[in-house]
Amino acid sequence: MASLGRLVVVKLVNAAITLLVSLFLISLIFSVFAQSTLKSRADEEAMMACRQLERIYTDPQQYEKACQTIKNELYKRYGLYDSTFERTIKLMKMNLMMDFGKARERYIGGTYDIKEQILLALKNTAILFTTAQIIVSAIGILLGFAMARRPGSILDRGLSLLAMISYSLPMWWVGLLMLLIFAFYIPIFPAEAKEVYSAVAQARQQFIDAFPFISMAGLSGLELFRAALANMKIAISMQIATIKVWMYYMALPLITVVLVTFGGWSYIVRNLVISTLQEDFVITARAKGLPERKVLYGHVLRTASPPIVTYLALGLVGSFGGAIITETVFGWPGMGLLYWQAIQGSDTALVVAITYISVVMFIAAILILDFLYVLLDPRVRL
Amino acid sequence: MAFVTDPRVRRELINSIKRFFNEYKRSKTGMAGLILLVLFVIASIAYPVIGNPEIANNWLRNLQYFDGVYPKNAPPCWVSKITGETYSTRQEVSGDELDQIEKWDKALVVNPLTGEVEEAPKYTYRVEFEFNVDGDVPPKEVTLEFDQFTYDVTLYVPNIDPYKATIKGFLDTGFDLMTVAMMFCPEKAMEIKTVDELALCYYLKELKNKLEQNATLEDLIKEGLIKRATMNVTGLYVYRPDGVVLKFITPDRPVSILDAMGTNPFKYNLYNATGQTQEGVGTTKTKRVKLIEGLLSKKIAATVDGKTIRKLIASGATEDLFNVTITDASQIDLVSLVFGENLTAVVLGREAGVPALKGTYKVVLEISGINVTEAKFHVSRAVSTGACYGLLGTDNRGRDIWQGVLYGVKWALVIGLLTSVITVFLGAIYGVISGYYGGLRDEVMLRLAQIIYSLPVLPLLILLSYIIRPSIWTLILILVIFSWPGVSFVTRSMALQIKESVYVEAARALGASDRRIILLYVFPQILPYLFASIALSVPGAILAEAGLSFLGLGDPYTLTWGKILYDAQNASAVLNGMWWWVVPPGLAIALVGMTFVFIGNAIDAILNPKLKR
Repeated sequence: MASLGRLVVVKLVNAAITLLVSLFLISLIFSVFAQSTLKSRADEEAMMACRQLERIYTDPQQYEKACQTIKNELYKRYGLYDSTFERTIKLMKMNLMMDFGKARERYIGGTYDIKEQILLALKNTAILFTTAQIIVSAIGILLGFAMARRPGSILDRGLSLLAMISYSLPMWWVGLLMLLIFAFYIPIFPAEAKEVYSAVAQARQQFIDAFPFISMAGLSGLELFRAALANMKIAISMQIATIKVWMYYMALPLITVVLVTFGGWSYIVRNLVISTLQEDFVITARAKGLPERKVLYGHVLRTASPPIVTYLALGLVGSFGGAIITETVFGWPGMGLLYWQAIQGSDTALVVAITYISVVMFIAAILILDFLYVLLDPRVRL
Repeated sequence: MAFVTDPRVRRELINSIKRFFNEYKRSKTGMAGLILLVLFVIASIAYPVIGNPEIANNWLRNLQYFDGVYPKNAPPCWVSKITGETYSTRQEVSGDELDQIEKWDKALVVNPLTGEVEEAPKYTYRVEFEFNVDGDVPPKEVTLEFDQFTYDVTLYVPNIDPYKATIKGFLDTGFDLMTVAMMFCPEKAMEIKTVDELALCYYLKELKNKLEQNATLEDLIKEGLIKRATMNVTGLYVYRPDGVVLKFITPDRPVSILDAMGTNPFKYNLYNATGQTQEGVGTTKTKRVKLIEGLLSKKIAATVDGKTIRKLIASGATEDLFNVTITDASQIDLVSLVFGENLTAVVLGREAGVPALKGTYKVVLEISGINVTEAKFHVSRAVSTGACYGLLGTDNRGRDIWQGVLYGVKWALVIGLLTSVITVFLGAIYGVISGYYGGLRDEVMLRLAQIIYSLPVLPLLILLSYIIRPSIWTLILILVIFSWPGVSFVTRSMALQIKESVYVEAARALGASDRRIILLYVFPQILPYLFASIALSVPGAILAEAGLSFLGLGDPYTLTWGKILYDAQNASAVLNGMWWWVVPPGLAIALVGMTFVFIGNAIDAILNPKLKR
């Protein structure tokens, strides 16, 4: 068990170092290149304050002096007197404490607070991409095993070709095609997913209007039980209606992600399974007369699962990159769209914050899957 | 490399390459990739011959080049074969083939300074452009391009309009003409019958006042009493194939029809005589008069009156239908009025201009000016853009998508290959050094590589691009910096294996230096793997660049496929169903990526026969 403890510590330290390095890079990039914008902002504020002073001071010399003091104060506050290194460190601290400040606009949700906007966007991204990843993993494992069973078959060759093709397909472009087909030519899905929240709220309201909850006040015994049961039924069917609306808006992005990733994913599973199939224990299992299903899903899957999980981690993280742009195409109100809006609006603070959060998510995902690997592979624990 | 000069080694090398290629030939996708690669390389080398470099050069820098001369948002021409709807085709006529007449006359004018009648020079210019409409969809634009549009102004004309406006203002508030005349011109109030007469009287009184105060010419100009003479468009006519003639005017001031169209090329040169020509910065030396854009702006009307026409139609009359004025231009689609097949329906507001009336149309533009000296107008070319264009249609600026896609091949190959070659060789050298030397050096190098490997590339790339707006070369550098570790892990483990092999041991026993062993014993072993990974990392680089460009963060001065798609996204091409703008660039990205994946996988399959089974 000592080696397990050491492993965990090494992984944690590695993740922490990676996080610090990326944080340093982000802060350095920002503090080097954002100096001019900060300076102009400080100058602007100083000018505004000076204009106010103009009314108070009559002596021009005194006025000049007061104005200079304000300017100095503002420069100090914006950290313009600090060296680049000091500013970088300061920014690192602020980012570590998740102190991002305010965004220029309310891009998502009702607040200017960057942290809250990002959390909301992150939730939406997680909903979309976790669903997609679950579907893709399931399809990938099934198809991968089917391919590995009969290498060289039509299924194997077709899916291998598809894997190669989807490896070079830009996911966001496939999204554009999906929109062109299923939102323009055959308009069965919405072209913009941004309205998902208002649509959900509207659907819920409509539902409540049609099936109001039964008041339980003053009821007792069997009547209370019946009323509670009826209310529960209403609540459940309202949830189903909500999910329906979600699915209506999420369908197109979801299909796109699945379509582009499942080929490559099954190809990876296939290769892992094929190399596992050549191991001696598979021959032994077959010689024992075990049914092929049991050999595959019992012995091979168990052995191949650690590397599958590793690839899953990489796939998840990789799809997160593509997700940024794909979300923009569909207008899905997640991290990607927020990123795009921040870039379009030159909202530097928000861009930096989203970059940092993306990095944290990325590193956390890798770390979690690393631990999962340890759990799945008993050899590491020994 | 010295060892290649040894004939025995060379024969061996050539043989192994031959063997490799024989095996490669058996992979169908590999051969497909190779053929595609050859095609792409040919396309990028032969681009100056098969493409039109002028279009690519103007693509990002000079949108004026396309404006009005090429159709905007036009689908490819071959679409009509599928949908059955026919499109008008593009026609361009050079100025030499057009009927252009310049004429100098004499005209009588009133000199505002003396009030005397004088003889003044009169200039008239007239150009006729005949074009064919040969499809159901009318041309998107009809344009006259002027390469000469100068005139010198040395004389002045009275500026009565402001005075007329003042009087009209009084009339509008309910005064009758008589009362207003008593206010502004009491001496002649009895004789005045029209607004124009009153305005002239009022104006001359003011002028006399100023002249008595010894006002100079400059003062009069400054106070707006007199103005420099200008050129006027005195006529814009369209002759339809069915014999109907449409004359276009602006409802209030018939002279400034081109101002109403927003394309008046002449107003920039009003002050040519005083040398204050207001040429836009970076624009071409030509000005274009665009008919359809003007019609769509709804600020001009045709000389037909909707109400009268309705009456006429109701009474069964069909002839001379259009010798009246349409005063309310907003009621009728003017483009349909020009091109519509069923004019009666168009005038009644029942039908749009599709299908168009096929046949030969004629556009006549007449410009003239009094009190103007030394004028020169000349149309260099006249264009009917048609409604479809080329192989892949055009975007919302009139740029030929096919040319953009063709031009993009070169940059896709440069970005993909340069990034992957540098990445792979850098990673390979790093990995081999790390693996071969081992020990603490290996440990440190491995940790460093691992840290860079676990950085999320795209968010950092977006942040960097957002802040520094990299050129294409900087972008390649950044991509290399983030992506070399992947290769280094594999080459490191290969080097670990190879350094334990017997022949390396033998070489070392013979006293070979580390450098010689790495260069001549380790590297040749991993070279095939490197080729496979070069091919396999090309799509990633191309996708990264395309993604950044799609977000609007690419090199602003380089035309890439991602950039075309960025423009498409900004113009909501998808929601307008402009598939010819969205599909080809993305398909090109996918095809180039596929080419290298096919090649890489074919090489990989030869090196890893285990996976084939």
